[in-house]
Amino acid sequence: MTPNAAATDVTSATGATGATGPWIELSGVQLDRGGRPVLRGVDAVLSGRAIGLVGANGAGKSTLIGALLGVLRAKAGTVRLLGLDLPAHAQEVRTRCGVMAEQAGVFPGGSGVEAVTFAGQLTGLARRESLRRAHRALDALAVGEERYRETSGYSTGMRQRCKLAMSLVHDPEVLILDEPTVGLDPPGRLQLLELIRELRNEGRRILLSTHILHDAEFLCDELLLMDNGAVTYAGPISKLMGPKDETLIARGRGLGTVLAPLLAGRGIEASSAGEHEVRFHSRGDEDLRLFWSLVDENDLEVRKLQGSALSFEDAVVGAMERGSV
Amino acid sequence: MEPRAISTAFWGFIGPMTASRSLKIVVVSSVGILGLVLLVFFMGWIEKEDIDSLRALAVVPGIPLAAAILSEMTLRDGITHRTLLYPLLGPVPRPVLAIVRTLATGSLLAIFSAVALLFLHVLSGRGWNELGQEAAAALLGSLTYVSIFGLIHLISKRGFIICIALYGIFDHAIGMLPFAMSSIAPSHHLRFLGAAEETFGIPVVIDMPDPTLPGSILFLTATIAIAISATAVIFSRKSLAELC
Repeated sequence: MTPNAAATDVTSATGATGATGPWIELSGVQLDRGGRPVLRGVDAVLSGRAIGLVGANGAGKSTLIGALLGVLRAKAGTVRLLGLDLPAHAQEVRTRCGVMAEQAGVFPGGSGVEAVTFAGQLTGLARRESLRRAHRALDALAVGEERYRETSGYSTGMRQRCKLAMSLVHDPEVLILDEPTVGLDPPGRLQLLELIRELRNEGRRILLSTHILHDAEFLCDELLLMDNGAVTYAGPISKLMGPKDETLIARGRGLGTVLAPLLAGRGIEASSAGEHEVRFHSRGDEDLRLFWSLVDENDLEVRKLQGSALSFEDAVVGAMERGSV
Repeated sequence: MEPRAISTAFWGFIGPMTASRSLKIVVVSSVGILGLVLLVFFMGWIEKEDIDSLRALAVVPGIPLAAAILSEMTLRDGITHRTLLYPLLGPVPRPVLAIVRTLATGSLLAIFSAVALLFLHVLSGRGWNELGQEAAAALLGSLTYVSIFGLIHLISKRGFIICIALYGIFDHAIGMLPFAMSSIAPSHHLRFLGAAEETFGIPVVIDMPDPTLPGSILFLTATIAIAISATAVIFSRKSLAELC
């Protein structure tokens, strides 16, 4: 089954809701572990369909997830998930959230479908119902006959799928995924990301904790950047990336002499850098369309077009360095 | 304790176990061994006295040794395989998880040992009078050793070796001394309850009081309470995953 086909099944198998408005609300959250401050006044209000929780190891990501699940108690501040105060409503939050924890294993000694069934039972489902849903979740994640094999023989990719099925079995509104792609090879990683993206597209809320920036860029529309227990950025990725303008360098026969004055004549900041190279400032897709139409009209050939736009990685690093919310 | 947390902790422990191939192997093997004993007995190859000796061995060292193996399931296995996170995210408070899993493991061993003891008791032709006391031995002995050894497994990754050493060097040896000091060993009280009393053949006997039923029950119950409390406290402070 292709990732997309699998993902389509996920949609039908899980039937998530599509709530709107902020679903993560953190205000002045401070939390100590072992006498050491781990969260130092975390403030964020997030409403994205998929939120990337990004930060280096030790930034406080896992501790924040623990607080969001009501397992860890903040010494100060308020933590709300889906509008529910934590840890007071931890039980309700747990029934509405699926958690795929990096640090958790898969139950050994039994098969994959048994492991997923137990995970469902732990959220309060009856065994029969849990077994039924376990098969549905595994079908959706394209786990075939492997589900009947003992989990100790699973590959990393299969184990991650099994863990994802364990987090999905009770049909949660929110999926909290802690480093889901760690240890996967590139095709396996992409396949899992596609599945998660489909879960997001069908209306499920996702909190993705990761230190792999590409995963966050691929899946998320909002970002919660953490560094040393504090928030350095919380908000839409588009805002972090800034306006979509960039300086472009185009190379090709006659581009410098012909195209530079034409672009300048249409109000685009452009200059030639030799006979065959033009540099121009694009303010968005419209400027790019104009560039290509001028290339066509003048029967020019572009051999190379190179951008200098801020990459996602640059934007994240910049936000980390600025340390501003 | 919240009922939901208790049931999550319980099913989070029992559920995976019922699917475990190794548990199925243990059950099938146990039935096989009992069948073999039955066969050997009815073939007349062993006498009732031998069966009674076997019964006494099933009490001590049978229960402590089985507890040394099984008590790894209480918390250590979950830490090793990183599956404790599921009930902890349940969310089940750590003390509840420690208490429920210890009691569940102890009860499981108690059921196994009670069935074995009853079987051997009937074959040995012992009267019915001691049956209640033997049931108490199976229950309290199992819970005592599972709670002590579970604590050791929690503290140490090499818990099994420590459990065996502790049992062999301290508990078993002291419990068989013909002195009053023997009463500080759980095995001494377990032997009494299980009608499997035995002492070293040392020709010195100093102030050897007879154990009493209430005294032994009280001693073992207090040991269980102390060991489980210590397990709950230590598990609550133990550094596990970052998430919880």
